[in-house]
Amino acid sequence: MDLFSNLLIGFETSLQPANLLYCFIGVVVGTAIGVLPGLGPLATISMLLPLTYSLDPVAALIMLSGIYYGAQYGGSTTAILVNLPGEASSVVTAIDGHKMANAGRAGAALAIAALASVFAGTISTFFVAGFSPLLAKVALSFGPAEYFSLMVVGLVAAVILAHGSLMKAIGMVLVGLVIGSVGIDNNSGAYRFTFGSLELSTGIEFVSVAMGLFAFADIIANVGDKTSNAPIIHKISRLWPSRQDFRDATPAAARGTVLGSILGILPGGGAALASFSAYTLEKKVSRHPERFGNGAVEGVAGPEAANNAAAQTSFIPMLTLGIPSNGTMALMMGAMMIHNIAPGPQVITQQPVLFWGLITSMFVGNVMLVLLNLPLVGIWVKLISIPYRFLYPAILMFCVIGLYSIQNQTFEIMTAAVFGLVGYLFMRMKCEPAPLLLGFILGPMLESNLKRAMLLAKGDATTFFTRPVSAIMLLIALGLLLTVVLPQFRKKREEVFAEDA
Amino acid sequence: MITRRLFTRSTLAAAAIASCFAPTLASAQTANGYPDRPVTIVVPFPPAGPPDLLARSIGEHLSKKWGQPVLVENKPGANGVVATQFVASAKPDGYTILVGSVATQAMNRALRPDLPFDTLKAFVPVTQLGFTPMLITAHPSTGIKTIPDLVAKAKANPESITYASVGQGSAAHLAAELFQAAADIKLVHVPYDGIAQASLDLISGQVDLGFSNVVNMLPNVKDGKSTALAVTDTKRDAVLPDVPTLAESYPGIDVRLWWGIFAPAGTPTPIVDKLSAEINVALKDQALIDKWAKSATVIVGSTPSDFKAMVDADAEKWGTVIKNAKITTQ
Repeated sequence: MDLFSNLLIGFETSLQPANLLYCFIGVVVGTAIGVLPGLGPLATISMLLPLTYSLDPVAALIMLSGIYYGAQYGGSTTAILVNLPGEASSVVTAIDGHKMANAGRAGAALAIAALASVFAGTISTFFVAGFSPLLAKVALSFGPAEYFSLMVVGLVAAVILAHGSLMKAIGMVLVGLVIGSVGIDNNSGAYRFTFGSLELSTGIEFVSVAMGLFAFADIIANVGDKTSNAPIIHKISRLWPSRQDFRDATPAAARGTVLGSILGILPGGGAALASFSAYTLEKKVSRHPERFGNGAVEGVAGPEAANNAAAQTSFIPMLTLGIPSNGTMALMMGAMMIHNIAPGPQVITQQPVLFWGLITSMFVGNVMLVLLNLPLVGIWVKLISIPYRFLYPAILMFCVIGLYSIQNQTFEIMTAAVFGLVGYLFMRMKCEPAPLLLGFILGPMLESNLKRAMLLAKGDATTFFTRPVSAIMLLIALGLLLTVVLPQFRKKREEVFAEDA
Repeated sequence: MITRRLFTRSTLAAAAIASCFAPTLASAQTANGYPDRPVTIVVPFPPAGPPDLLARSIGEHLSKKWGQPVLVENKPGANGVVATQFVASAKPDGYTILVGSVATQAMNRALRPDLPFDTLKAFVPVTQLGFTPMLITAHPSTGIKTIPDLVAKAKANPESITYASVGQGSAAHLAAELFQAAADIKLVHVPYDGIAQASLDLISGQVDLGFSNVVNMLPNVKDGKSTALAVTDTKRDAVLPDVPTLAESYPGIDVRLWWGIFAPAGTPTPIVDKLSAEINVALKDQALIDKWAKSATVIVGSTPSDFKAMVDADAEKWGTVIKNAKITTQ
């Protein structure tokens, strides 16, 4: 059993007391920064990087990766409790998670999020252990044409994400695409919507948009609401999920894990799609899609599982191909290079202790995370019983600190403030922000992959249909689109018939 | 991190106070007593890249030597323009210095019409820190093994060969333009948003050629997934001794991605000299040189005047490339 002996090597390393300690430090720090809005793993790892110079490379990587997946874990906490997604991955968790919290089921939502995460983390660890080299091949079969088609699927999914009006959802996606195009175009060098501002030349920061639209807008609405002079009381009916919750959440978590594991492999955009796609999938397979957006437990379990699975499989391109999937991975590669380990295909063979030690540490870390987080659920839930007039200044303060830390400048705070006002208007117009965010994330990738695919195909647009993987993606997009549009048509027709009658 | 930020804040406050009470400090034209408070090195790039790590190495050396904290602050906004502007408008007293690169100090001025200042006039070069050459690679399926192969193939079928860069106006794009002009060939430019997707497509052969940092493609070259055609330096690199230089085919053509320390214009010469001399001591550390050599980065210091000559020459060279290739951002 090759895999077995490899895992054994791994556990021998990751279960050493010192490495256990670094793993623990990593997941604790990760959970903390995940909970603190705006402070992402990228900023934290970059700050902690110099501290790891003196560590053993395995210990350093175990700790840094603990921060990374720990943050994915902690990010859902604020999304659920105070509608504050600190990262792209927790945007969808906020949709149903926060609704559950408002209905007094914050404890259940947090527990489900934690359990779904650990479930996904565990399964995907073995996924990474067993199929890394194979999965690397999947990543290599994705060229610009395939990415373009994947982004098309994502955009269609963005529309499904919304539970209100279809037209409004499409409108929000389009607004998101426009906001995403701000900055210097990487393909042509053209300045778009920068209005002479240097800061806008590299585009608008995702965290600013997300915090503005979700957290700031929510605060404006809550404070502005006359009836909320009395603190909003979240009646806590029960702390833990019910048996029915588990029954609903388990298959959702399983589907989320599979979807997340696959999307996580794709560098440059795959992982960002994981939680969104999982939400869409859950809504599609559910027999009661109307529950989504009103506190559906599957809407928490699926995306949380998916984003944790994706966080872990996003190590695959780095470890097997030497390609960083995102900014955080690029930092981890930096950490490896500091220790004179060149990330790439030879890591598995030349550094088996490091490779398997790191992978098994993810399993260990996930167990620690759940042991750490479940007892905390009770404390977190008490947090929202703090009167809102004390709570919101604290939320705002943490947001502002987090926003400042992104680039060490105040511009991001101002941007978030503007999006706060915009978000409040959207809220009054009953336009949901989630499709906008997805459009914002996917728009630039959609465009640059389209241009690249066309350049590489020498201007032949049929490339999207003749490349099999791309064609399948487009078919999925078309199928999804039909399932959205047809019922609307039917409804319209029914309305027309009703009028005729 | 919060402490670090507070530190910076108090540094700024201290600078403001100092400027009120000691207006003669900068004009005293002496480095006596410098530094008597923390020095900030502003890095216009995200953490963990070579410029950041180099800044941290020399920062550590300086603070040990001078007994004053040396803070490294990353300000990666607007492709480095935010950081350069910040330092250009800082008080020229040697307490706020910049790690500039070939991109921020020699390329941006010709590329970006929106720069609020001329980088050659707004800064005093202090010392070079080091440089890394670029690596030109081809996918094995193209059958291209050498630079002459590439040129012959490109001449036979103009605009049939694609190459990846990390974006319009990036150093990789400009290096490719320089090469095309020298070899008199025409390639198809495929800009990528980052090194991740670019390397992925280089390994899978979606795109034929790549102009990238040596260290990015090194593992794949060693693994045979990518063929190294040339390093863009005047001499071969220790990590790839079998790979010829571009200058072997086209003498005089080289691309060095360098980094160096810059102070705001008007910084007293004695302070610039003191900084330069002490940083040069730090750069002589053999352990540092050996560590960086493994990732194809050459550690090299210089005097302020030598560095200025180099920056001016590079700005001229890249300005011409940008003008001739009509690369603009507008």
